[in-house]
Amino acid sequence: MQDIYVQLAKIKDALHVKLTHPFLAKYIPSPMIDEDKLLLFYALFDQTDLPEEKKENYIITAMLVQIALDTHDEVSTSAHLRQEEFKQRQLIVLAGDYFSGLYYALLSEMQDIGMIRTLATAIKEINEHKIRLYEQSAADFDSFTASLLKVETSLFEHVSDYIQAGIFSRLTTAFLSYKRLLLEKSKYSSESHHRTGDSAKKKKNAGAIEWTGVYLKEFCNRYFEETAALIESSFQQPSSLQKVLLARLQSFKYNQEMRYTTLAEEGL
Amino acid sequence: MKFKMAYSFLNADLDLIEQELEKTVSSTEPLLSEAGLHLLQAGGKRIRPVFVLLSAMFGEYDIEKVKKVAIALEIIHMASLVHDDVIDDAELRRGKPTIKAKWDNRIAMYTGDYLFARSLEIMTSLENVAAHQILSKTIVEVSLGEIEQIKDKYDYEQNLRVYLRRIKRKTALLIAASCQLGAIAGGVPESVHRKLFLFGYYVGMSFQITDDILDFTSTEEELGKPVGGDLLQGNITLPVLYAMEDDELKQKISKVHSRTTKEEMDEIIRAIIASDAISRSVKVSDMYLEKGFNILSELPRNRARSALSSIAKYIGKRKF
Repeated sequence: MQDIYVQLAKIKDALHVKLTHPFLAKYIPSPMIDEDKLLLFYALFDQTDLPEEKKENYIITAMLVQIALDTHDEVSTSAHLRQEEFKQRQLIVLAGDYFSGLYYALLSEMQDIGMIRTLATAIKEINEHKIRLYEQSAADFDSFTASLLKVETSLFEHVSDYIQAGIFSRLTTAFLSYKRLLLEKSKYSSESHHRTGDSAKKKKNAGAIEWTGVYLKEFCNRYFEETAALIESSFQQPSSLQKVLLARLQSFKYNQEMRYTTLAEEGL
Repeated sequence: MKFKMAYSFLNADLDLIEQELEKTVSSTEPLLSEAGLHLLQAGGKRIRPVFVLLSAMFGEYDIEKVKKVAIALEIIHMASLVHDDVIDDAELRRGKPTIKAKWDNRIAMYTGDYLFARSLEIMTSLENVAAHQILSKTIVEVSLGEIEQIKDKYDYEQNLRVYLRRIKRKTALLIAASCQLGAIAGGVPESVHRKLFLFGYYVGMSFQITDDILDFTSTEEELGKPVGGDLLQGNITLPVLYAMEDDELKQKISKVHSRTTKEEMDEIIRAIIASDAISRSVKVSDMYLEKGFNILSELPRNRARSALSSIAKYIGKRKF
């Protein structure tokens, strides 16, 4: 198990080196690395016969894409900014563009045109769904939920298809869907608890579509069960990676339950 | 000869590219299609596709193959403009509202990212590793150039080398890549596509220097933005660098900041125009053009070469 954490730390260090730019570091926060996505990319590539160096490079490129996309989510829409904030916004735009360029450059060096196309298709799809969510143009609840989860999982789905990851494709999708819905559930419950004079049964989410607590609970439970079962069945023999994934999954559930207990104890 | 006359034999192919650009920017998400169409309808010189097509003519010209590269490069350029307008907080581009003005910054970011991804999808139809290495390095350099531009703003101590490196990254490299990638798509020998890269690089440098000169010598009407706008925004260009060789003028220029009044700017602009800064900048622009012509003379004689030469001449003489 220790080996996995060492490997992940090594990849994370290499990713940090790629992301580091002295001028950007001076003015904008260091890009956030989603540890779960890193772990899941690691899991995807761990099942392949690729040489270690190539696996690492693929994980780094996929994470660069994720970070580039996340960075652009941070661009503010404010009309009135102080000079420093304005400069920061300018650099956030450029940082995202720079990270996108890096993924393309790294894959070009790896001479993998197919993977360039794969990641580009995923980015295209993610931005289509981001716009749909942002514009609240989803026609109904199902398409809203589909867009929400697509933004989270599209990159993994395309990469999985490309490397023919088989069951691991379903595993990563289910894992990320569970995590995303848990976040929605957490936001929902927090806002419900803070609302007064309201039945608090529904919460307005992204404008046109409303979550319901029951729906979210059912959805989360379903994805938890599915992910746990996939982790159990995806490995031919017990492995450290399997334990790490399961532990991570269970920690989400545990933290969520702890949160509810705390809220209840605080009488909220 | 009018600019477009120089390559009128490409008209049918450029029309095809225009149609394909429309198809390429369309999406299942109506807003993205609308934004893409809005950008295309704002026009533009389509100079990158022209360079791609002309450079491909030095080899085996197959429009079906070459058009992919032309479309990819134009869309990369479009994507960068959408993000540039967020960076500059620009309301108008070519007289039309920018994506960020028509919608907002977030939509502009998603549109730019979508377009960039779309361009790479198209580009990967060219199964040539060298081409992707050239383009990806160019894209990284362009990003670094833009970051440098922010870093160098209002830095009145920067030197000529910093300026030249910045405009190389900001403008010249993508034009150079357009020429080289067009040539690669046409299957020309390496010795030829390297020369076409250099031609594009020299022309791109001249193009940007001319742009920087026009920022002082053109009118607000022609520029679509205030005269001296680059300096007001803190961009130290070649005419400014030359003007600052005069200590008295340097003192005035180095006081410019984002809130400098129009009257103060007008006085500085007049002083820059009255100095030898403009004529010296023109000389540098001409020097790059000359290098471009020299490279062209080493290439096989054909109508593409004549057209490239005419375009280079136009770039040297353009008034806006």
